[in-house]
This record gives sequence, C-alpha cells and structure tokens, in this order.
Amino acid sequence: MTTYLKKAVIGLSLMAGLFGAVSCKKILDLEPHDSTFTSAYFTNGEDANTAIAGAYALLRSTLLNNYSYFTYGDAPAGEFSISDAFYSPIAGGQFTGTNVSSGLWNWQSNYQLMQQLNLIINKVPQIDINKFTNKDDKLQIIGEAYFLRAYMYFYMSRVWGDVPLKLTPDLDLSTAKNIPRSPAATVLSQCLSDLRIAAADLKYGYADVSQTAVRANKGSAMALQAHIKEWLGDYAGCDSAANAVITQGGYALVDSANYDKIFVGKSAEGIFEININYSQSEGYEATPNYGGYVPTLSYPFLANKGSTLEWPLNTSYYNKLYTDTNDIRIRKFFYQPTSSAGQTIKYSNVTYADGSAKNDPRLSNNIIIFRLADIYLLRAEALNKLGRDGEALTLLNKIRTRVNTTPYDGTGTALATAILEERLRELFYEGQSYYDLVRTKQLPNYNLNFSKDQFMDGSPKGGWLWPVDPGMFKDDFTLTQTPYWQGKL
Amino acid sequence: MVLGTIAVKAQDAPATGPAVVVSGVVKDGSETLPGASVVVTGTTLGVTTDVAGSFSLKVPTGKSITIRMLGYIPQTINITEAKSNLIIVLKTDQKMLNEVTVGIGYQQVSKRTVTAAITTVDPKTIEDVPAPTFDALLQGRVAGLDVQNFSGEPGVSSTVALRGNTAVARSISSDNTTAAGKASLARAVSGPLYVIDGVPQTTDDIAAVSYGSGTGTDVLAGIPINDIADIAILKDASAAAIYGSRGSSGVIIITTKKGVAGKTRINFSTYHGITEKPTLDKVLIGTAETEAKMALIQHYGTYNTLKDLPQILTDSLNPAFNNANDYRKGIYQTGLIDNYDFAISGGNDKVTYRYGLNYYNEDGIVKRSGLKRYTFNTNIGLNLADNLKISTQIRYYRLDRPRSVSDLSGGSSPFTGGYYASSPLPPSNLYLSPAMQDFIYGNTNINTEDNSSNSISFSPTIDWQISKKWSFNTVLSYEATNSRHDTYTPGQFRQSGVGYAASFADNQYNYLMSNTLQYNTNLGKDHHINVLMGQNIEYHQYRATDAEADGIPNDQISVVHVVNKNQSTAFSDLQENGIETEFVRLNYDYKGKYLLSAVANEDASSKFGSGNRAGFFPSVSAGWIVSDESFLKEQSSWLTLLKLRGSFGVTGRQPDDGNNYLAFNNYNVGAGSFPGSNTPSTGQNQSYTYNGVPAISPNFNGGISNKNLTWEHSKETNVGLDLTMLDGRFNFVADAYVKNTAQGIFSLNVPITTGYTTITTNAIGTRSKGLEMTLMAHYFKPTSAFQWETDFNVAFNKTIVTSLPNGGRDVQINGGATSYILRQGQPINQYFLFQQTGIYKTDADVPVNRVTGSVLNFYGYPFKGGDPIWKDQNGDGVLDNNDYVASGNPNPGIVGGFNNNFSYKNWSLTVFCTFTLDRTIYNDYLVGKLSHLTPEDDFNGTVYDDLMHSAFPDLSGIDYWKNPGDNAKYPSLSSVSGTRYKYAAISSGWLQSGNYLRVKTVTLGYTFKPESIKKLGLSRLRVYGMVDNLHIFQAKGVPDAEAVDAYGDYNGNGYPIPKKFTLGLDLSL
Repeated sequence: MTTYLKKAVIGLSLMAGLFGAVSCKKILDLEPHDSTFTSAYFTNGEDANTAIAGAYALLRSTLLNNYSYFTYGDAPAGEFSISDAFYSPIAGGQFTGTNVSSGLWNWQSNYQLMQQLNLIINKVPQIDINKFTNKDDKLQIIGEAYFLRAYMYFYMSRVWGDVPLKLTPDLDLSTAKNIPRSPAATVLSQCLSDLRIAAADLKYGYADVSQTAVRANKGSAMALQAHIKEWLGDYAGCDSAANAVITQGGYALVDSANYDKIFVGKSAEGIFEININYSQSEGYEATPNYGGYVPTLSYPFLANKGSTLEWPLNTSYYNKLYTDTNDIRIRKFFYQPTSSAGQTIKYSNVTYADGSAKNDPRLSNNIIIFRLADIYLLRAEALNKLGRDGEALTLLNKIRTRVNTTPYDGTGTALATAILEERLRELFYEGQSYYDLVRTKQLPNYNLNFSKDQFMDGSPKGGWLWPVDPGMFKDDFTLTQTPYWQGKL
Repeated sequence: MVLGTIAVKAQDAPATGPAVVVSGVVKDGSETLPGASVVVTGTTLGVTTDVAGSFSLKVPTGKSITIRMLGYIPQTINITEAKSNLIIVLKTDQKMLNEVTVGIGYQQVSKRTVTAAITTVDPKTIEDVPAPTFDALLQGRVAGLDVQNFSGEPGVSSTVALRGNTAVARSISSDNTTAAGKASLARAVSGPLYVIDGVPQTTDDIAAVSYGSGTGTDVLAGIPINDIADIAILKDASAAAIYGSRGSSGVIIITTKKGVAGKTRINFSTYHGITEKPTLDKVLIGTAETEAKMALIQHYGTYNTLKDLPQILTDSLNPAFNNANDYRKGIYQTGLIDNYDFAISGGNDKVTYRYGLNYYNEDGIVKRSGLKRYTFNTNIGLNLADNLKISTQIRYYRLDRPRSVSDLSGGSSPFTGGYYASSPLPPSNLYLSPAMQDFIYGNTNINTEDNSSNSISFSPTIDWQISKKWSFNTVLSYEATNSRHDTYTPGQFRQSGVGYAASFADNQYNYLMSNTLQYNTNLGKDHHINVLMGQNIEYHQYRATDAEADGIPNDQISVVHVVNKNQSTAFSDLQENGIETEFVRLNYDYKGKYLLSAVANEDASSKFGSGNRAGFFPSVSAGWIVSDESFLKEQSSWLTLLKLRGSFGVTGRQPDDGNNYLAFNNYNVGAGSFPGSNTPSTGQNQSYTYNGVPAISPNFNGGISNKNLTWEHSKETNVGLDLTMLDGRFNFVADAYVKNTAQGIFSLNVPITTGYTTITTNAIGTRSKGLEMTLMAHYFKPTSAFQWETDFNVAFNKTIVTSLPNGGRDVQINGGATSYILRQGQPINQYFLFQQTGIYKTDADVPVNRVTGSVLNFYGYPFKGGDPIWKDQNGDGVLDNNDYVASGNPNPGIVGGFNNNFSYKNWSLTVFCTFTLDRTIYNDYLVGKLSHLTPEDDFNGTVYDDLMHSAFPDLSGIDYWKNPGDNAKYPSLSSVSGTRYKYAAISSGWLQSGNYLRVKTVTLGYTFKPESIKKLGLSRLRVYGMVDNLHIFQAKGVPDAEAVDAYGDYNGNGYPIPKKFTLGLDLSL
C-alpha cells in the first residue's frame, strides 16, 4: 500500500508540474490582432486624429446614405421633377409609401456618428497633452467633436424635430438603454451649448491648408451658430454670429468665373465642407447602371450614362426663379435648363478611373455645407427681420453683382422675398433650399406639390418633418412617431 | 496464466502414449476462425490456426488439447488417436462479449456498465460506400443523429445535428453564392464535437464564417473511412459532460485503427465506379422556348400590350437570337470514382505498428469539379516497459477539390445561376462564342481553379500503469492545416474584358495537451470504484491571407498581379483562442449491477471576458442491470441483458459567429467608406481615409462588448433502456430526453441610439424533447446458413423556443429565401408567410375594402383574377407584414434509417435506407422557375424583361391560371395584369412536405471461401457491387427532397446528389 501511495504522490506531482508548465494565462488572455479596442485606443495624438477622421467619415457616410443630404434638403423643395420611383414621391411631400426607402427614416447612421463623437468627447480630454505631436491638436479635435455633434443634432432636428439626445458613449451593453425623443427646443439648446465649447476650442483659419473647409474651425462653428439662431428666430444672435464669420473668418467670395472651383471644394469661400476627392482615393462612384447615384447628371458629363436622368430640373421652379438671363449662374449651374432634361452641373468634376474607356467615372466634388455666400444671405435675412434693410441690401447685392445681375432695391417683406429667392438661386442643390422654405414658411408657394395642409405653416405638428422608421420601434418601447405621421405608416 | 498452472496440476495423472498427428478446423458456427490457439493442455506446446482456421499438431495420446480464442469459451478435447479432420466449434462467450468496451472520453468502459446514452457505429457498415466524408455516412445509422447531405458535391460538409438543432440566428441567408450565405449556412446547425483519437477537432469553417471565402472543404474529408476502428456517439449530457463546454450538441468519438501484435497483416481494398449524370427537369430550348414565350404573351395579351414585343422574341432571323444552347447538357457529366486503401500492421510485444495509405478520387457530376484525397496514417506503439507505453500517431492528408467553372457550391462566375436554380438560366437562344461555350461547359483549362488543403498532425500518447490501481495518461497533439484557394478568370470570359485573380491561403495550428490520472479500487468484494481526474489545454491559432486583383490585361498571367491599385484588395488576419479544462469523473458500481457515474467539468475559454470565462458542467447518471437480479435469473435463457438508465447533466456551447474577441469594444480601422465609395467592377470599398487621414471608428456590427457574455448552458435529462435477448440476437435500445437550453447564444438588437446594431449575448431559451429507438435483430440462429439481420433506428425530436429577449417579443427573420419567425412556444425558424387559400377565379372574386371602396391591393397593384388569395388575417383591408402567419416547421421531426442484411453461404445482400419525416420545406425552386416568367418588381424597363432574360421551364403538369373561372393551383403567368408579386417568396403556397425515404445503398457481395483462395496466398477475398442513392421516395415538387438546406430551403442552387455505381474488391494477405 505504501508503494502505491508513493507512486500516487509521484503521479500527482508530475501532473501538477505539467499543469504549472502549461496552465498559464497566455492561453486565455488573448487580445485581438485584427483591430484595436477601447482600452488600447485613445492613448495618443494619432489615435485622436484618426478618431476625428473617423467621425468626419461617418458624417460623410450619413449624408450620402440614400443620398439623404440632398433628399432631405432639396428633393421636397421642388427643385427637381424627379423621375426615379424611389425619390419622386418625396418631391410632393410623400415621405412614406412603399417606394420610399426606410433608410431615410432610420437613425442608425446618425447615432453611429454620435457614438463616435461622444467617445472623442469622453476620451480625448484624458489623453496626456505630451502624447500629441502637435500640442494644438488636442483642443482642436475636442472642438471639432463638439462642432460635429452640434451640427448633427441640428441637422436631425430640422429633419425630425424631436430626437433622442445621446451625450455619452456606450462602452458596454449594460449602459445601452433606449431613450425617448427630446423636444426640438432642448436639442437645439444643447447644440448651442456644444457650439460655445467648440467656438472656444477652435481657431479661425487653418494652420494646415490641406484641412481648409473639410475640417471645422471657428468660422464653421460661428456659421453653424448663425444657422441655428436663424432657425430659432434669434435674429440678433444670427446677425452677430454671421458677422463674426464675415469679418473674422478670413473668407472671400470667389470670382464668378471660378464658380466651379467652389464646388470642387476647399475654395476661399468654403466654410464647412465634406471631403470627396478621387485623387485622395475618396472619390464618389458615378457609374451608370452600377448604383453610383448621380441623379442630376447624364451625357455629356457622364460619358456613358446615356440619357437617363433621375432628377431633371423642375422647369417651372427654374422659370420662376432664374428670370434674369444675364445671371452667370444659369450657365455655371445648369445644362439645357429649359429642356425637359435639364441637368444641374454644380457637381460635375469627373475623373475617369479607367481612362479613355470612360466606364468608371468618379466625382471629386465636396459636399458644400456652409459657404460665405450662404452666410451673407443668412445675415441679410436676419438684418431684414431686425429692420436693418440697408445693411441687408448691401450683403444681398454683393451676391447679385458677382453673378452679373442688377442690384436689388427694396425693403420690408419684398426684400425678405428677394433675399429668400436669392438664397434659392445661389444655394440651389446645396441641401439648403427646403429648410430655407420651411424657416420662411414659404414652402407651399414654391413647391406647388407640397400641400398647405401637410405643411401646417411650419408647425412642429406638420408633415414637413419626416417620419421615423417603424423598424426602430421593434425593440424600443420609448419611441414615438413624428406627430403628423402617426397612423400613416 | 493462473488458469494454466491449475490446469497443469490437474492434468498430471493420466499416462501418456505415443504422439499422433491431429488436424482439423476451428469454427464458430458459420465461419472458420484463424488465429485460435491450439495447445496441448498443460504445456506450452501448440500452434495457432491458419487463415483458413485449420491446424495440425502432434499430440501424445492420452493428452488433451485446449482450443482458445478471445471472445469464445475454451474447449478441451481428449486425444486418444490420430485425427485428420476434426471440426471444432467454439461457442461465443457471452460474458466476454459483455466486456466489449466503449470510449466515453479519456477512458474506455465496459459497454455493459455504461450508464449514459451512447451509440456505437461499426465502421465496416460504411467503409464501402463511395463518399469521402464519414460524417455524411453516419446518416440513418444512429438514432437521434440527423444528417442531411444537402449537397452532392464531393467533400462538402453535411449538416449534422444531434437531438435537434439549437443554433438560432437573427439573420440568415440561404444564398450559397454570397459571402453572407456561406457564413450563414456554415453555422446554421449546432454541430457535434468530433474527437479523433482523443483530440477534439476544430471543424468550424472559419474562412466561411469570417470572410465567406476559403476552400469550403469539409476537414473531416481528410480521414479515410478505412482507417477508422470505432465510432462512438455520446448523446446525453452525462456522456458529453466530460467535454463540458462543447458537448451540448453531442460528441462523436472516432478511434483509428492501431497496430496489433502478431503476424504482419496486409489489407488491400479498392473500388471503382461511376457517378451518374442527374436526370434534369426539362427546359425548353431554341424555337420551342421562343414559341412557348410567345404563346404565353399572346394568351394574356391585348393590342396595347402586344404592340411592343422584345426583339429577342420576334426576330428569329437574327443570329444573335436564334441559337439553342442547352446549358445544362453541357455542364453535367458522368464521372468516375476510384478508391484504394492499403494497410499494413503487425508487431511484437515491444513494438506495434500500422501504416495506412489511401487514395480517393471522385469526379463531380459537374464538369471540372471533384475531390482527390491522399492520406498517410501511421501509428507506432512502443512498450517501453510492462507498464509504460508510448504510442505516436502521425497523420497527413491532402485534399484537392477543384470547383467547377460554374461553381454551384458558391463563388462568383461570369455565368451565374444554377441548373435547377431559382435564379434562372439565361435564355437558350442567345449567341455564345465557341470560347465562351468551352468555358461555361468546363471544357477548357485556361482558367485556374485550385482549391487544396494539407494537414499534418502528430500526436504522441503516454500510458503509464503506475500500479494496479493507479494509471496515468498524457496526450499531446499538434496539428497544422493549411489550405489555399487560387482562381483566375480570363478576361475573354468577362464582361469587362480583363482578367481577375484571387488567392486565399490560411494556416491553422492547434495544440493540445491533456493529462489524466485514474484510480481503481474495490471496497470489499462488491464495491467497485473508479476515479478519473484530468486537465486539458487547447490553443488554436488561425491566420489567413487573401489577395485579389482585377483588371489583369493579359490572360497569360494567372496569378494575382496588381495592375490597378483601385481594383485590388488584400488582407491578412490572425485569430487565436484557447480553452482550459479540468475534470473529474467517478464511476461506482455495487456488484456490477447498480451503477453510478458522475462528472464535473470546468471549462475556461478565451472568448469571454475575464470574469465570465469559467463554466461549470456537472452531470450524474445511474444504471440498474435488472436482468442480474435474482428474480429474473430464471429468465436468463432468453433475457441476456436488461438495463435501465437515467441521467442528468449540464453541457455548453460557445458563440460560433467567428468573433473570438467578444469581450472587447472592437474598432474598424480604415473606416472611410461611404455609399458611393466602392469600385464598381469589384464592389470593393476604396475609401479608407478622410481627407487623407486614416479613419477609425467603432465596429458597429457587433463590436460593443458584453462583459456578461458567457457559455450557453443546456440541461439535459435522459432516461434509457437497454434490452438484449437470446444471446444478443435481439437488441433494443430506447432513450427519451428533454434538453433545456438557457442563456442561449443569440444576437440581441441594441438601442438605436448606441449606433450599434446587434450584440452577441445569452438571450434565448430553447427546449428539445425527443425519443430514440434502435432495434437490432438477427432473425435466424447463428447456425443457420441463411441469415437475415435488421438494424432499425428512429428518432422523434421537437425543438421549440422557450424564451426570447425583450419580453418575449416575436423575432422576424428576413434575409433567407423567405421569412421566418421565432416565437415563444413554437419551433425555431418557422416559416412566416401569407396564408394562401387559393387563386382568385375572376376579377369579381377580389374583396373590396369597405372603407375606401377600392379592391384589395398589394404594393399598389390591385388583385385580379388569376392572382393568389392571401388571407388578410387582421381584416384591416390592407395586406402587409401584419398578415403573415407562422406556417410550418423546417426542422425535421422524425429521422432514422434501417439496414437489412441478408446472407447465404458466400453471398450477402445489404439494403440500407434512410428517412426524414415531419418536415416542411420551402420550394424556392418552383418559385424561381415560375416567377421569372412574370415581372418581379416595379422598376423593370418593360414588363417582359424577366420573361426575355430567363430560360423557359417545361410547364406541363403545372396547373396555372389561364382563363377567368379557372380553379388553378398556381397564379396566372400574365406579365400584364394583376399584381406583379403573384410569384413573390412570401406565400404559404410554396410550402410542401419534405418527407422522404431514400434507398441509400444496395450492396451485393461475394466472399470467397478461405480454402479456395489459400493457394493465392490470400486470407480473405471479397468482391461486391454497390449502388449509392438508388432511389428516393418523396412528395412531388422538388427534384430531391434531401438537397434542402438547414433552413428548409430548396433553391436548386446546390449540387445535385448523384447516383453512384461501384464495384469493389477487398483482400487480406
């Protein structure tokens, strides 16, 4: 028995030895090699820099998702006689129906951007300033994140009114809770408070000129502030913010001969833009028949697209606004505008990836969000409301003379109409017109297909706001439908 | 030895006379017994019987001889005179037979005393079947094991589910031509764990799950069936608990053949045969096609719809349109199958060895597809001392599995669409250049399609019998598998005119070490105790590299050669995971009659966060051998064994979505993509930056961490009965079980404001209940020349969803061929469809909405006569998602098989059938065939687009609506009236019975009498002929009710299951 015991002890100790030799944590503590993760990321300046690039990329993705920047901002303004079955109902205010993509009602991509921004706002301040190669970057990146959060909530609030306010990142499932929609007023006041931080952190101008307009600076923040205040009816606030952009931003109107340069991007006039550039491998595919959606262009701007044109110019809208035939914009913005297939050629900077075969066109045109002409006219609108028509006229006529149209001379509501129409002309197809028409409550007068009953004079109960995706209600008991659309989907 | 000494003492009395020669044959009733020992009783003098069972020995008269053989009762015969043709018949030793052991993981136990639900399969029953993978061949052999060979492509995985599938996914896809579909199908079924020679195998197709690419070859195809000695299937939790975390879907233990000390034995077997071209559904070709299309158009047409007919239908003089391509005829072939097995084994008391070689070649029935396998398998055992043995297993295999040009099993090609496929063939009358024809029909070698896997594994095992009571065992294993998939598609066959090359390579390393210590003791005479304790460590590393280039301008090049950086992609990956297990098992019995066994297992996996790694998996089982009780002793003439068993235990499962790092908040590096950033020719994103700065953002698809994620736990209760009668001539086994899975792994939708979509979590509960029965009967006594044996098994299973996240709300699953639903209390993945109650006979039959006054419509198209009647379940006058109803269960309810073996003298006939019953399948094939004759969506340029771009099926026998008043089975085929969605994949009208009975194999064999082949130097010679997949009995509708995927979908995209005819030869030296 003792020998057995001895052997047993030997056996057990041998086994224990083997346990000890191999049973180390190495086998169980395995970290990903194919990606980075929260505790390894946000440790230095490069991480902050790639994270903010990630945020801009998500914004770009959101704005191009279902072509939504233009679908929200231009399609329901009536600028186009849309033939594409997916988008044609929208021009008449039918934001529902089987052909309208539910992606246009869905917040997924918007809140992906929010998560990214909340991560930056939460994590970048904790990074040691010495871990930044360029010490100015830290504050700038934080400022940009606050700017982008303010921009996205403003953007969403103009589309849906009330939206859930998500201001902290989700780092684990346990924090992920459904949150209800906050009133638009709360959302916009959050935007303004974010912007105050952004404006404090950011500077005018660009130390790195390659970032011109495609990264936010103080000018972008002030431009956004002007827009939000105008939207809220705070005209004095708008005036002062817009004035700061004009006087301190260092921007200049581009000569009308070089209009197309504005839409390529990074021009002297650009205040905030989204980068789309083929030479940086960030081009926009414009391939006919393969899904690249460039609905206002066809032959000859896209050599092999043929005559298909999804969003031809709405000739009655055009005829109503572009009455002055001397207007340089007519030939800079349009191709055969009076035909039934009028093309809008603001964004037609095409490079063919396959050379002379021309089957693979790529666009290099930034999405222009704010530019100086926009801020001139926005301020003019505020000044008119404040009764300072003289100053308003000066700004308006700077835009008018640039495009070779006669200076305007009027006051009061006539001036208000002139400013609005100048905005509609100047900012055609720049994702602005619908909000301009809603803000000025003029929508049914310019888009005759949008019924007054649905518009409800711009009331938050009106159908000018978009419905939210019923798919999002599936696992969310807190979510409510936009008032006008309740029971309509 | 002890018996020997006693015998010597007993035998010293009689006087001995002169030696005489005694010769004869040793038999066991029917067959001769080679290798039996014949010794002069009480001495070491003796011989063993030769291959024919005969012997010759000089024996002094007055002495006796004793004939012994393992498994038989020894016999002693007194020798008084010379005898030349003694016939000695040994009786089988039932007690010895009861000592047949079975592997239960880390140890072998007596089959008689095992208390768990374990089934063994004799590999002999499957080794002649012409198929490369043994998992496919287990179909119908084991009660409760549901094997569906849904593809006939050689070397492709079958779906294997034990006691019901519990893998539930939120999104599924049946489209095996896409990456998503491959990934979805690769993890559709909760497959069992395979343990080969003590080493748990990683059978996950990581490449398919993670990238939707790879070779798609079943790793189990690398094991030749001839090398398998034993297959045991551990079914209940008490059996599988030793493999705790991975045992919830059962464990299949494979033991390969080892060398046996004794004479060198050489076995050679081979078979050769053909795989038959399938019988295909008729498709109209050439003029017949055009005429049929025109007839359809004219039948439903009016002046307005007839005036603009497409040119392809009207211009029969145009050489571009007046062709008659029979695509399918060109693609299919009759193929050849060849298999060679060669094994040599032997050894002595110091060394034992076995070498096995195998070559298998099967041509696919689709040209240029097929499988070639080369294997080398060796096992060398060294007895270093009486109590110390080291054996080493070295296994190598190579698999070459070229996939056809038209690659029905997945992948893109210039010629998409299958041959039974729901995505249709192009019209037959289009012009095809001779080069294109050769390419499509697989008659050219200009394209490259290499798909190969190599694997080598070393596995030394140390057995140390420390003492009578203690023993120690170590298994080490290292396995390296690499596979490659290289393709080149020449520019001349592509629309773009430029070539495309892709190269995928991966390497997989698995290391394992397990140590076990066993202790055996008896307390008194009646208490037998066995304790096993051990640990197991596994580490897996996976690396993959992929490179693809499009735009290659010269077809002389056939490798990845980048000429345009925007049309090329490359990635590499590195994944690791590890598992640590500690376990203890106690086996106890009282008088060998009352049996108790318990297992405790703790597993820790690297896949979970540090707080939730360990899972505890206990089990307990008990048995009672009733037939050993005294009150049944008098029945022992017929009652050999009656055992009652019961068990309860917990087993687990890890997430299998390919994500090894679920505890981390993963980021997406290079996240610069946006709608419009793809390169159209390849569909690949080309934007990774923003303004030139690399973009990084969270991985929003599942990248949020779940610190609480842990093992899925299944609690299973099993009761069983084993009954053996008439010395094993009749055998009956029954098991009933209930398996409750809580904390089931499921992806949960997370709030939209997180930005994330889903998270892998423990969020679903399922319950499987079932009954399994196996009956084995030998109808005639062993002495009879005619023998008939039946082996029948059947299993009933029902798996339902017991709990769902978010308060049990229904989860609707889209993305497959049709819609499915998960609903509490209902089977998993039920179809969720409009209930179709018929076809509107006339326009007047369509109901009118009383509120709006308009007729019922769908997507804006009012219903008309000839459209399907879909029930408006909620009566709101609108047909939408809210009117879908749960409509049928795609999971088989009853599966089984039966084998009948008849033998008379040298002849044997075996008929093996499998069946699957109580299953509803979705006939996507019929939907596809007919739907392409009518417009499918709103955006086609002309209503005849689909009709002119698709082949035309034979409509005879299809009862579709033609004229008002028709009481038809299928909707009208009009392109111009009624809803455009009449053939949409949303109707219960496409469901049908999936029941089938397949006559799987029929084998006729002849075994030569040993005497007659002795002069050839052979000990065994058998020739046989076999037919595989002889016939299927099933409901009409689909061509093959077995070729249905795990989601119940028959879409015809798969590879038809061919009929095979082989002739084989099996000989031993």
